[in-house]
Amino acid sequence: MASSLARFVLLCAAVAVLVASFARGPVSTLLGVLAAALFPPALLLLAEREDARAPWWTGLLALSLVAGLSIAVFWRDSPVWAGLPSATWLTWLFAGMVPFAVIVFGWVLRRPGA
Amino acid sequence: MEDAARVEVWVAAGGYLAALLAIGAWSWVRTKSERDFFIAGQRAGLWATGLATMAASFSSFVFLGGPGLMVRAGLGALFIILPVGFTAGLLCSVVGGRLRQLSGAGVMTVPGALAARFPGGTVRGLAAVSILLGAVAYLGLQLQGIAIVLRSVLGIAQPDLALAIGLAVVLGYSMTGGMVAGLYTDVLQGALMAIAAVTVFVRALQVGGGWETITASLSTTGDGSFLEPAGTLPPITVLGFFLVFGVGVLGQPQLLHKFYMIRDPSKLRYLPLVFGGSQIVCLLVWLGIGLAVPALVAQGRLAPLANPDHATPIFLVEYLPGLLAGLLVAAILAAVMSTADSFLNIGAAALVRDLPRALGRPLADELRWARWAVPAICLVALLFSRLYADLIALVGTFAFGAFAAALAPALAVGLWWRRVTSRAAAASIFTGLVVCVVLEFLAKQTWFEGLPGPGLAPGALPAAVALGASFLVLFLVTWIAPAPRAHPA
Repeated sequence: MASSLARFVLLCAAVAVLVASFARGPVSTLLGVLAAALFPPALLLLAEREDARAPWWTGLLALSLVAGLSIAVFWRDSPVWAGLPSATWLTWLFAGMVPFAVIVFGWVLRRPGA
Repeated sequence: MEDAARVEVWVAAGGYLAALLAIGAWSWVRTKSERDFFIAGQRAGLWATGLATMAASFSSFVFLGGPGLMVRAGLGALFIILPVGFTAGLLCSVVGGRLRQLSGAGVMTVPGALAARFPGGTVRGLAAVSILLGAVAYLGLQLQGIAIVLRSVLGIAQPDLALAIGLAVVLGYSMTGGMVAGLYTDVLQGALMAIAAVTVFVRALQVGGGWETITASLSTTGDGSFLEPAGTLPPITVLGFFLVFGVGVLGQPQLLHKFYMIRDPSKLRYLPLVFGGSQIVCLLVWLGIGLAVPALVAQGRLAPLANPDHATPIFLVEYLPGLLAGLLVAAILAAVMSTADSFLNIGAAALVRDLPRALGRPLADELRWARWAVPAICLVALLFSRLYADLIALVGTFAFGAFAAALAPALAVGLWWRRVTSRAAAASIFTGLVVCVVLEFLAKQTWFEGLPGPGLAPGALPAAVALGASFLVLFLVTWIAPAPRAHPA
């Protein structure tokens, strides 16, 4: 089940990459966001199918990446917060730092034998 | 740079190069078989593997190209390194364990692993060709980096002499010590890179006037978009960077090759911490110089750069004291050479081991042939670096993307999904490689006026298209072809 879902997401993401690379406009950008954000968690899910917790932490990773990349490309702000625009901090948080934490807790600290 | 400081830089760089040659000589007596030459006898521990993988993953791309791209494109350049939070885990989880399992069956190379999964020579041969082409491009990139550093920092007027010095050292230890030398020089180089990155980051913040002053200066440059998450780049470009560097890591043979070397496979669980953690530390140099140099330009303390790739050398010459400058020069050379030796090794393996076996004609003495393949590959890379001149980060994106598009789908999906056939894997590798090379050629070529452009949306990356196409072809051919009745995987 998890493998089938992962393969379906990968297929959709591959099509989305191609559409986003040739088309223009906000829908194309949204497809680019979804493709870039969903590829890594889907690949992890495909590889971690024997770990029952994998759908949860790979799902969390996907949500975090979608949030981070959406903020990066759809939210442009001018107020400077602690030296950088808030959109920049939030992008780094959701697309950079949270994924590292999720990987550590999801994979490195997974059950022995999983 | 003053003469006294330049002497300190020469001493640091010379000492470092001498240490590499000493490791090469030490490794010569320990390299007795193909297994030693290609996978360092499979004796590496967790820390050695983690640091060596980090050193191989970061090249002149990180020390020269990254800050250069940031000078030109603002914080959008960071989308290349933003995936580092999960790529180490992705690499270990999706392909690392699988490759390590296969090494028990005598597999020593990535094409060899693909051959174990997909019988017949086609997949192995295509993978070997992809690796050879990508290795030449990546090596060419490293040669550009060596030339920039030796010319602009050490003041070597003749670029050919600069190149010859760097080449001689890399060839010296790569030919003699193979991957035994490569592994231990990578450990030294990885440690050096991490120490230099932290030191230079602190110094860059000091020189720029502190975090607040730097960002205040940068907010006044151009249209003010430098500090926005995507910087001055179109959204589709930063998304392409994130995709290619986030997923493409699964197709990088210089990293995958390291999984064959770890002694205890159970340690793979902790490799993301060592590998990913050391990568994050090392990337501080990209962030530090990438922020400080454009801030100094905005503050009027530094003239605008004619070539963004010179951001690091100029910062080094203008703002670092002699000893610290020497440390950074040694770190840049370390980054360049650690990647170069990895590519020489896997390129040699592809040429003398995988290609002949794919053609059904294995060579009798692979170790001897591998030693001679190293200078031959170096020579071709030298020609490539002369013909393909662009920003280091853009050449790096092409080389990284070519590996990604050709190998990532077949490895990441093919090693896990039993239904994937040899035909599907071969079609995917072929599609990824051809689409990447053709689109890149159409986007860059200026020789033939009648040829059309690649037809992509402005800012879209050819490597991202090739990666998407390669995955799509893998799925479509797998579903169209009848499911195999029995499978070795």
